[in-house]
Amino acid sequence: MSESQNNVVLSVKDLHVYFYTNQRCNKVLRGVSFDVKRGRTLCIVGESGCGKSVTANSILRLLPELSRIEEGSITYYKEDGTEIRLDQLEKNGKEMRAIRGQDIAIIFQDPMTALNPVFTVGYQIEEMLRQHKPGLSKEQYKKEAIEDLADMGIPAPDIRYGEYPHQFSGGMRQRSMIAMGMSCDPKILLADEPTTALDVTISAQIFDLMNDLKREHDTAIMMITHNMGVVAEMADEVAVMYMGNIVEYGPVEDIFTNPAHPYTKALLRSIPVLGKGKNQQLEPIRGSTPDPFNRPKGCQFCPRCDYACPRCEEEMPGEEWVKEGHYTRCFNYREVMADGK
Amino acid sequence: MANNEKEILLKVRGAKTYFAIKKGLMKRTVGYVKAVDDISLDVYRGETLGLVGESGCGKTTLGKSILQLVPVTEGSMEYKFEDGFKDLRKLPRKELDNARQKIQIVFQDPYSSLNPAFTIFGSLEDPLIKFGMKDKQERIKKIGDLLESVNLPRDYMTRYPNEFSGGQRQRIGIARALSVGPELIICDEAVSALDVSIQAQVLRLLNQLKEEYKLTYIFITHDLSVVEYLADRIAVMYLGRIVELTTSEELFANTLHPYTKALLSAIPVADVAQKKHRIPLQGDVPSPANPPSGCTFHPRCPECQERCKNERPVLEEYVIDGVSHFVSCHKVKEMMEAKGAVKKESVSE
Repeated sequence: MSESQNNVVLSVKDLHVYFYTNQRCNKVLRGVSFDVKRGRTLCIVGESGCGKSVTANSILRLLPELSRIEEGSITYYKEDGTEIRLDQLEKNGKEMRAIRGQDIAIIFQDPMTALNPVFTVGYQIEEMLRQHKPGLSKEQYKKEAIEDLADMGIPAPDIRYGEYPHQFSGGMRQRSMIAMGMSCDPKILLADEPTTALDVTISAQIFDLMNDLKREHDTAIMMITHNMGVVAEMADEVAVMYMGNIVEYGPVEDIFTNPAHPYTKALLRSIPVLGKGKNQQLEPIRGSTPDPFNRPKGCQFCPRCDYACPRCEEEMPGEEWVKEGHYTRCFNYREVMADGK
Repeated sequence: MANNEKEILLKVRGAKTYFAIKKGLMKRTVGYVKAVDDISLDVYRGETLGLVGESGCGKTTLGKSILQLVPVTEGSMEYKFEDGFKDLRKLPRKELDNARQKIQIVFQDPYSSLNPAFTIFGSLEDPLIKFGMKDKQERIKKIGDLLESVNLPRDYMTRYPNEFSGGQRQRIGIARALSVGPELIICDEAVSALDVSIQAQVLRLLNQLKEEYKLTYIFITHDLSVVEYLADRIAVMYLGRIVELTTSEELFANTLHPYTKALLSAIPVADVAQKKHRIPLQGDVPSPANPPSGCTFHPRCPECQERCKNERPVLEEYVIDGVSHFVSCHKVKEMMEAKGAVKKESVSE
């Protein structure tokens, strides 16, 4: 047990994040807990608006102005054993800025908006190095930036170093984003839908790259996606989110072969799987996701759920442990699991 | 799968759509983006033809070219009307308008394809007025029926687009396409902008409408798992050309073109039991303004030979176990000739 404890680099406990707009409060995250482990990939999967990106942004304290971490904790375990409570640091304080990029890096979804169009790609990678490794000479910075680009498999990196983002293709932009993220050897890499804007052959390249990084540097990866295919391919652990809660968390095999939450199950049934042909039955999830300002009282999935019972309407189920390392938020999970996939 | 029994609805022959690249003060043409470069295919009545490829391969342009929404540079697109085949490119403006009653399109982005200033009734009544439904009561009834056929309540017609979710808007887009009684609907990435659980609703609706209204679809998408679920035949495009075209089952069971193989292996499959060997593709898709010589796929092809660099392969039909399979690849051709698979005349004369 102590072995696995040591591997935890980031621990999120009972995180609540609320957004305040137009005198209304949107409870975006309503008690999210998970651990990110060294050399493992955690995939957070869910539909748009379920709070996936907010989770990543709250770890790096990049939340917008009118939002607040109301409850819960985000703890980062440094290699030397010290614990840092990220949620208690000042947003733009010295400590937070030192961690951001150095220890925890993020890759955003759309590389075109994440890169600054008026600076060269090389300069933008160097900026990271200047911030976190001060005191090197100009040539050394340049050399490192070119090496980072070369590591990401960008051809002719010394020429590309001096080019602007618009001269790069989508795949190369995303690779230079990863180069930037990886330039300081972070312990944790957050990837917020890193390949949604890319073609499949290019995203396959990006996934290979991320897996190499995980193997070689023992980086912990937390990847956010809405694509179940990507989850099956990349994840070691999966957290399924729905309306601000993790409704199911567990090892990837269990989630796919023996889902314990009705939402996970419905989600798996609603997507066409390659190689199964025209005979597969797609079962759409009935209804649509509720309005975040007018949520169901109890379980958020209750109005769309086949297993709903009167109790579900009244209270949100707690985390029920199916077995070690696999929990679900459902009162009737035994029934769900007994029905098979 | 006796193709010859099926009725051809649309014949595309040697279609080319080039966009001129203009530069300088005088706007001189300095080159062309060959978005659609010599495509020939048949669409049969009642089938769903999937058109797959990566971004920039020209699949959307091909869809728009068929509807004459972009100027087509060369080739013919013959559509079967009551009085025989007519080339859509050569139709006079007025007749083209009528032809568009037969061919409709559903756009990718449900957020920008509906006018936010119009109610749903306002958006849907225009095509009806255009095609001769002058009585307002009749239009109200018709639009109500249309909304019901896409599983939306009748009274939604008085609402504005901002009141609807993405899936609902896409269904309104489909209702609009259906309103003029088309035979052929071109779905341009109709489900790509939707969440997974909503995608399934729209996919099922499309299948159901196809039965109900005897529709033919050209389904343009980059998502092969969606197209496998919907399509009878699939055409794989790369840099403005079709590289492989065959029935859905055949394409997945017996993939021939190296690009299709790589594309299939690159797709993450939502099934942990299926761990497969991935064929990595190097580099990016080349620019269609300056395509490589010979086979356009050769710089990324793992099976590239000397011949591929200079000589452009043609799309040729092979018949394998009675199923027609179009491939354009030198290597496959050699293999097929060695195997003695019956080779038919190539479609691009």
